Amino acid sequence: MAEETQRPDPSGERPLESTSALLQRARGGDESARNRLFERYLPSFQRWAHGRLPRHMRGVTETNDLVQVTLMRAFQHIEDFEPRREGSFLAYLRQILMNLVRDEIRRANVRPQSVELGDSLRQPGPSPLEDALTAERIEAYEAALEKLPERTREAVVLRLELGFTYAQVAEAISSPSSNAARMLISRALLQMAEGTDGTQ
Amino acid sequence: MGRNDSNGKSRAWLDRLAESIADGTPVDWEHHQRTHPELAKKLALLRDFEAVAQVCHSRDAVKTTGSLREPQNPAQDDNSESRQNLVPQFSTWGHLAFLEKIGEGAYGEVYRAYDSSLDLEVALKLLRPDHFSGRQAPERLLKEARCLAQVHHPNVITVHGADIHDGLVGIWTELLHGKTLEECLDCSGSFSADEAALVGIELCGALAAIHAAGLVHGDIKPTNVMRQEGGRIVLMDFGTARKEAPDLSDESGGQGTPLAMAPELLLDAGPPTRASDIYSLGVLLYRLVARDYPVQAHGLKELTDKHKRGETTPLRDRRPDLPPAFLQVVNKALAAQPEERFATFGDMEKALRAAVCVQPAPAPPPSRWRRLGGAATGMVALAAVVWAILHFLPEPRLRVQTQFYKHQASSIQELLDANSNLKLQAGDSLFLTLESREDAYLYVFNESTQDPGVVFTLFPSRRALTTNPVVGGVRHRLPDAAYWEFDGKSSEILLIVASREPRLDLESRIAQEFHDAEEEAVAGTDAAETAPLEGAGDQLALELDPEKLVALNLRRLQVRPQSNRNSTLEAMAGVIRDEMMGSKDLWYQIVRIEP
Repeated sequence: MAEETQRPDPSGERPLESTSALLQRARGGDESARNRLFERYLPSFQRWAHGRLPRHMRGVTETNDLVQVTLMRAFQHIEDFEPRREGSFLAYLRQILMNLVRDEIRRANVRPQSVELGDSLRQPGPSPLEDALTAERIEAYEAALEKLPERTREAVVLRLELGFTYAQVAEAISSPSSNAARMLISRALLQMAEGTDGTQ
Repeated sequence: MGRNDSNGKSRAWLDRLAESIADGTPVDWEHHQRTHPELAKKLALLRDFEAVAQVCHSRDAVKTTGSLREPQNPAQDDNSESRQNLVPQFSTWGHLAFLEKIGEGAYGEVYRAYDSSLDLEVALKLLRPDHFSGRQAPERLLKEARCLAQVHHPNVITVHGADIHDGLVGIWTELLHGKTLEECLDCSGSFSADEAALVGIELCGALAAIHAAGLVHGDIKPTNVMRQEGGRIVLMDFGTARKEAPDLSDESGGQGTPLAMAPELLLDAGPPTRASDIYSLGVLLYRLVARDYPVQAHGLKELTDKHKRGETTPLRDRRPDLPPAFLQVVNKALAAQPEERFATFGDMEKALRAAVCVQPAPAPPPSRWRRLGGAATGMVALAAVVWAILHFLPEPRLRVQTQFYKHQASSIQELLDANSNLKLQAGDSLFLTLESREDAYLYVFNESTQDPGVVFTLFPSRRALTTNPVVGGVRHRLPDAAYWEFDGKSSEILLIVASREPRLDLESRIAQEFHDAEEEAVAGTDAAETAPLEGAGDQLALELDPEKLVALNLRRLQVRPQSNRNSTLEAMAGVIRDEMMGSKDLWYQIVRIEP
């Protein structure tokens, strides 16, 4: 306990320390920067995973552990990455988690937890996202996302899926201002709606 | 012209709509769909994007209609997203990372948080700065919390630490899952005397431990006692919710009530004492069996007046069916004069035990707390069995669950029958998942029947995110974020080996392989085989397209052909199979992929 109080207050440094600076330091092997970055990203990715994973398939704690372990492993190799922007790194983490979610869903589909359950219960319940949208509509969203240029896609994912503020998005995708990031995202949303609409 | 105008207007309107979605401001979809039926498809898609944002932002279920978020002014974006919480989103407090808010009250807020130093989820209670006054200065609370951290009792919540950061006092404790006793009352109604006594006995032990540490609790009530999933009774929330001036109106949801306070605290406004803790436990037992308080009042004045006049409702009047021994314990704890109550929680516990023993209910239907009592003895027996298993029974054999998947034209198919042969076509992509119950060292090799004796290591790999030993209880995917591609030219053999200890023979072989591959890459002698794959490895980290993941050649790293061309993975498997006869620390699987 005594040690806790004597430690410099890390949160005091926060406003001065931009995420991209942290990322750079982390890639340079600075462990404290890596830890801070990890702590900064973890909650949003855990929220993200909860939205994607079918309910009741894994408990809250288990999902959090899963996300934590997966991200931790990705972070262990942060020095090997050469992302063009923070956004690319985040998008990469999202991809790893997306694979994890898909594997989890497949696994639940093929290996029911309990053989005593009725057939209707064997399928994992819909995820919060599937509550809101059908699988086809989620696919349509993903497909529209894929058509966007990489940097724009990163911006949309960071804002919509990970709940970044415009300032955070601007920093992550090296945009000149929050407002520019906001314009980029809203235009991208429109482009996504129009692009997909046109093909239907 | 008119048409252009109308196009321009609808364009500007769509722009604003997209901005609202990005900002997270509510959109009246029904209205827009009514006024622009021609844009129904577009609107539906935009609405989907809003739903995606809502689901990802909120852990709670999201309704498909309407927006759940408060309007935000984009200009004040960063501030508005703190949503009036004590802490902003995606933030940390000291070394704790916030995960979600799980409670809120007059005193402050409770968060589920991740403690990076303990590598564990905790409950973090942050106290509002305006909650402190006079003797409840932050330093005092910190001191109290740190004393509590010294209390180790199974029925007392484990306090991990307390500190001040960002001007906020915070205490972090173990994270409990269960129901408070108040919630148990709501769900299942009044407790029987035996049920209440069993809870009381556990709480007496908890409070005795707290008193032994020189502390008083000061806020014993059903909302501050958790019945954890599995039955453990846990006392939580110490002193932190105490108030200088009690306010009856604070009885929101039946908590934080002066109705549970000892008369001397109300009449003399003194600090909580051991005797007042005993009174409060008496009130708690009273409430568990009667679902009410011994003194009822609608205001602080009425309450103090009734206490002055000694106007209490005897428990016997409310529950005449209760055994006299139990009534006596409650009555004694609720004595108006502190010196007439039990002197210690040890005394009270003894009396409660006697009350339970005096009244062995004749063949009662099994009830929650009776089961809990049974579980306590059961737990000791179980612990003994577990101990015996750990100490005397042989370790179980190491096992790994594997599953192969085929990826073909954007669909993924589970490949069954992996124990024998897998049938694949040229160009098929493959990945594998593995899970061991415990940490293990994994090795995956590949050999083509076309080139017997030429063995490639698929795992461990310097490109892989996963390293040895792989973490147990977690499913690992190999390769991490890519696929292996099957060229279909000949059969491929995969050997998967798991071991509790690093396999020095395999490790040195792999080290040699890495070394050779590096040399070859430098010399440019093997450009055709390895160079593009090394490049693919680099790309791997950046390639984000889920459907266009880089396909890695199944034979990823090449070793120099060994002198003995007959040596194959099957021979290696034979060696491991022989070793497995005498060791439970090894596991292997051999899979043949046929075109």
